[in-house]
Amino acid sequence: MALPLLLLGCHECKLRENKYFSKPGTPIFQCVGCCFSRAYPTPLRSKKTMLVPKNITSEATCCVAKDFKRVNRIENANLKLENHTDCHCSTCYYHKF
Amino acid sequence: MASVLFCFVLLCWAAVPCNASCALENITIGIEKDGCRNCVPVNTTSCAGVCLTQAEVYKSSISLYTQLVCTFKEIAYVTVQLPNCPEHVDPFYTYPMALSCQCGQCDTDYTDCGTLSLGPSDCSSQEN
Repeated sequence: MALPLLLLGCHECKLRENKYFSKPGTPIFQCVGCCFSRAYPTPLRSKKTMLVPKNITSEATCCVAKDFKRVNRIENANLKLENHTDCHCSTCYYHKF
Repeated sequence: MASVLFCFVLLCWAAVPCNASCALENITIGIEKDGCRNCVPVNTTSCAGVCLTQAEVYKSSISLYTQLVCTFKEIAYVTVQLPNCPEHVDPFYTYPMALSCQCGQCDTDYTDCGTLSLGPSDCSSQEN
């Protein structure tokens, strides 16, 4: 019986098949998983180095591809995809607003 | 009987949200101010833990892709008075204390959003 992801808890950052973009014989994998992050009051010495001082400091990592291969889906209007081959917890780029 | 117990444990685990590990953490921070002689260690709460994120395989300029990180949800601002400050220096210092945490986006209005570094510092790690 295949267990839903939720029942398995917060799993490590690793490859998972992307069912939407995968085709028979040419699976596409993406990096998914949990990574560590924290937020705490900014120390005074750090505030002094900030161009715009902020009261809270966030240090975060996100599950991203360590390595990937580019895939061109010519049959889908030349759709350019990334097929991830290795994952790790590293710099987040899409977490700010 | 063993299968019933196993299902019960799984159901309990399913009731816990995936971001449950992003939670309040007790920390000690060093409060100091220019001109005041002493660094005062203060116990407060911050947020730490893991959040579920994923990397996109299709990168689009109009994509609404976001990554969630462990951050403050509800905040209280606490004011403390530093001892041994000269008369011309305001002895009061205000800092944020986390009341609750969440896996969410990093609000750049009041948060410096970066990558893993040295973490919070207390008075013992600061040079006088």
